[in-house]
Parts: sequence; C-alpha cells; structure tokens
Amino acid sequence: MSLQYGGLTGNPPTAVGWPTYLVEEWVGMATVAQSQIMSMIAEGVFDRFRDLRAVVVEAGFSWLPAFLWRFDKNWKGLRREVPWVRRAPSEYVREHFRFTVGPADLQPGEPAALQHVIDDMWGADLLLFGSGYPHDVVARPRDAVPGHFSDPEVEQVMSGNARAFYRLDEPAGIGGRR
Amino acid sequence: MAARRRAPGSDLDFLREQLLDRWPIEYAVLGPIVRADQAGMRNADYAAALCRATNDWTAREWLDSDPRLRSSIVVPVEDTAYAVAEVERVAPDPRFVQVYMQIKTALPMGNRKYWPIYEAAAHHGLPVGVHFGGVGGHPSTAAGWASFYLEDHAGNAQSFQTQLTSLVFSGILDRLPNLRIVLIEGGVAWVQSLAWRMDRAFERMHDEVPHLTRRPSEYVAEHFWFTTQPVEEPPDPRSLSRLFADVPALRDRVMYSSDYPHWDFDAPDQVMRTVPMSATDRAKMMSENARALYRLPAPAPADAGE
Amino acid sequence: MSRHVVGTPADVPPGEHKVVTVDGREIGIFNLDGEFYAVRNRCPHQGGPLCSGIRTGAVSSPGPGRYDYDERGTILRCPWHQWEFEITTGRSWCEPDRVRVRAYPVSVETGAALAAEPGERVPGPYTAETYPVSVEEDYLVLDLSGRAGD
Ligand code: FES
Repeated sequence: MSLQYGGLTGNPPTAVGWPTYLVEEWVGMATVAQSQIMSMIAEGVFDRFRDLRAVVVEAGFSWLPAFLWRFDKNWKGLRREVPWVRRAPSEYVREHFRFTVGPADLQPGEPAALQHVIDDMWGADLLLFGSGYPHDVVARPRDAVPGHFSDPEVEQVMSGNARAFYRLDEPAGIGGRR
Repeated sequence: MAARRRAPGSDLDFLREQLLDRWPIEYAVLGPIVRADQAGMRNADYAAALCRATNDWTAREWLDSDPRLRSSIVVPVEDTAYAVAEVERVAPDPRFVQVYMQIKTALPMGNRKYWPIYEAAAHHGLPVGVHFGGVGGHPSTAAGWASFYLEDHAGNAQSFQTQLTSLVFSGILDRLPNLRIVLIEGGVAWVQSLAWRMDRAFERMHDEVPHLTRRPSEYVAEHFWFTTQPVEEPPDPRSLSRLFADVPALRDRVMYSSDYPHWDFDAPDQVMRTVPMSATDRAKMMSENARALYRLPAPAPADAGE
Repeated sequence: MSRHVVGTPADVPPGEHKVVTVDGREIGIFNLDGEFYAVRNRCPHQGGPLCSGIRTGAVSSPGPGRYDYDERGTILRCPWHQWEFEITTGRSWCEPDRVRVRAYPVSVETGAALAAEPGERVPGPYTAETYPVSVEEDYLVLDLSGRAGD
C-alpha cells in the first residue's frame, strides 16, 4: 500500500480545523501521515494482515523517531485498550513501513543533526528513493540521499531497499550498476 | 487516617501532601481545565461566566491559601471579545502568570479570529499557555476520528505541531514580537523535524506568506516554550541529549511539568533522570527557564544553598 | 539473614495487599486467591509507588477487536504511568525480559517450624517483644534473598 501525499476526505486536513495557507497544509502532511500510521497500528491492521506493507510517500521521515518515542511510551501505559497490539508500535513500523526520502528532510546546514535522526530510525533501512516526478523532480538523485551515507547505504536507498520491499527481480537489460 | 479528601486536583491539602510538600517545589503554576471550548460550551455567555467564576475561585480557594501557587487565566477562546475582557479583568492580579488555552480549537490558532487574545496577553506581558485537550468540534486526528484513547493521546502531539505551524505562518509573531507561547503536554522532540520541514516549505512557498520576515525556525526558537510531561522516551536516553545539543534553543525553552493529578504524572526528581545533561541545563529545565518566563522571584538568599 | 516474618495470613485477606518495610525496603505482600506474593513498592520505570496502583486482570487478545480479561487479577498497574506488572513474577507486560520489578517469594509457615529454626529468620517489622511468634499460628515469611518468577 502506498500512502501518498494529498487527498480530501471532507474533514479538515488538521485536527484543529481548516488552515489558512497552503504552506501549512504542506507542512501538516507529516502529521497526517503520523495519524494514519497510528491508526493502522492501533486498529490491529497488521495483526490481521501480517504481510501487509505500506510506504509513506512524500510526507517526510525525520519526524519518525520523535513520533515513535511518544507512541511507544503511550502504548506502554495504554496498551490494555488495544491488547491485539502485541509489540511496541515502533516494531510494527520497522517491519511494515517504508518512507520515501523527500528533500524536505535533508538539512544541508545541519548534517550532524540529520545523522542523529537517521541513527534513531535504524539508519538507511526504512528509506526509499522517491523522484517526486512530476512535482519536485530531483535533478541529481545523490542529492536526495543524506550526505553522510556510505556507498552501501546509498545503494540501499537508491535501490536495495525498494528491491526487497517491492520484491522486484534483478533489473534486466540496463547493464546493471556495478 | 487522613481527613476526607476531595478528588486529587480539587483539594489543596492533598496537593500539598502529594506534590508540593513531597518535593522541593518553589512554585507551581495551576492549569485549570475548563470546558469552555467549541464543543464543550456553545453558549458563549455561559462559557464566559464559567471562566470568570473559575478564575475567581482559583484566586480565592488556591492562590490566597498557598504562596507557592500561581495560575493561568482561563478564557472562552471561541468568543474573542469575552476572552479579551477576561484577560483584561484578571491580568492585574500578578499571581496569574499566563493566559490559558487548550490545543483543540475550532480554527488553527494562527487564525486572525484569535489575534485579539494574543494582543491582550502580549499587552500584559503574559505568555499564552496551550494545554493538551479540549474539543474544537473536529475529528480527533487530521485523518478523521480515532477509535482509541491511545490514538487521541499520542495524536495530541500532532495537534501541537499543527498549531505551532499555524502560528508561525500566520504572521502574528511579527506583529507581536514579545508574544510567548508555551506548549504544555505536547511533547518536545518533534520540534526539530517540524522546524526543518517548515523552513523547506518556506523556501518553496514564501510567496504565499510574504508577511514573514524570517525563516520559520527562527520564530520557533524565539517564541515557543515546551514542557516536559510527557516527554518522549527514546530507547536510548542519549538521543534526547543529542537533540538538546542539536537544537540548543531547547535548553532555554523546556520546563518541567508534572501533569498532576493525571494518570501519567512525572515526578520532578525522576523525569529525564537517565538523560545525560549538564547540571546547568538540568537546573534550567527544572526551574530557571520557568522562573524567567513567568518572572518568578528567585529564592531568598538564605535558602539559596538548599 | 534474609527471611523475615511479616505478619500472618489473616493480615492480608484474599484480594488485598499490605505494604511492609523490611531492611529499609518497601515491599507489597499480595494475597491472590490464597497464594501470597511480594513485589517491591518501587516501579522500575521512574520509581512510582507501584503497590498503590490498581490491581487488575491481564487483558490479552486473540485478534483485533477481541478482549480477553483474566479474572485472576494478577496485574499491578503503576499509578504514575500505568505500566503493567505481573504480581507473580514481577515482569512488565511490555518488556517482560528487560523491565521487571523485584519479586520475592513468600511462604506460609507454622510458628512451630519457625521456632525450630530461630537462627534462620529475622522477626521482621515485628519485634519478638511486640509480636511473639506462637507455635499455634501460621506466619507469612518473606525471603529477601529469593527471587520469584525466575
Ligand atoms: S513510574 Fe511506574 S510506570 Fe512510570
């Protein structure tokens, strides 16, 4: 399943009513993604459909650690309300979710902080390259990957993770990258 | 056996026993939760009367009885004229140290509808405290109604992010350079990612918000305060140390909160005790940031060594 | 010396508990359907007074939307952040191997048996003067060196 930026349900795109500016809505798409992940885990979607996997597209990823720290903490105190959730929410995310690397999360001025965030979310494991086409096309794909990543991590984000997650066969007829 | 008590949070002696006397607490800022919001109270006259009564009761029953106590001015947020009148009425009492709202509003907090409330607060030099909860009349998450309290509770953190975003892009922070907003019980750790995302959005879409004179992250660093409970708990507590190093403004902006008497209370000597930080930073977060923000007097010199 | 007399079975009726202080440690003695258990009154999370939390049944589930409630009431929920602990083992529900409260064995022994081994137990919170052990009665004996639930 892909959870793609956008959509209109008739509800305001925030939990506190209609925003004034488009820019708020764009920023807020990260909170919509958080709400959806929360809902899918709390409702037991992955306990019923154990093979289901989901990709969060164009909603960023750098919010993930803080979100999971809070969600796991709440689960420890309230899990009796959703007893089918047998493991910490972060473990469901690690197993069932992937995130496209959006340019919004890459802070050229703060490489150390970005590295800390990524270290707190299992490194490159959950990240997939997304081109943004036809909206914000990434001119140089390497720019879409955190600068501190090693070559194997770049390879993971640019191809390996997606290949595994989507169960793609080895590419045919393009000569291979290496 | 102790004398018959009222419910926790409604009984000053019990509050002293459970919190104020049990730990070395210099000051406690009360946050009365009054359902004078959109869904709780549609009758604006009644909402205003309830807020007036609550503020008067707080002064008489609580502030008059214990010099450690300060409180927050509750206002009927969805009726701006009444809310402003209540701020004007109560603000002269210096024991009320902030104007109080709840995070679930009928419109995002940056909406101009609420600006007169912020103007009144700023005029009196009072921060605006925004606490977890309330019912604005909208589904509890941006993706619709949640089924479980777990989602509602964790999801409040998302509403805090939305409100911060709205306030930043609204332009009110340029208009009121001394407006200070305290986000209470909404978490802390998300602010870094949100500031990045807002800055990036601003680069792309600043044409839509030409009234902003600075990058969003600069408004965040200058205008927003955060409280600890329920602070995020990463599996490795050092993740929070790194966050405070990467977002240095937080060291001056995070303040201890207890959430007494609720189900997820944090004790002052326990919260973040496993998070490595300097004694100075800890003292800031446990006392000094709040002392500066709320202009609370320093302890008398005789007590200073305690 | 680690065995302490902490009362009689009648002091802790079924479904109830009492907190005793032994060697400076607060320990809750619980009676679950006639079986006695003891856990430290200090939550491993942030030190909350665990034994004053709500005692409740374990809630588990065979799948989304279904709730199984264990009537035995073997769960203690910390009053500070509501983490759940198994009274019989001290294990937390969410991280049973990593987060545990210390649980001690409690046995019921006759005064006659205790009198026969005077060197091996400490009178506990009750001194011999104020709380004479009589051979006709049963006593709760807490073993501080033991670990329940392993
Ligand atoms: S102190 Fe017991 S759950 Fe936090």
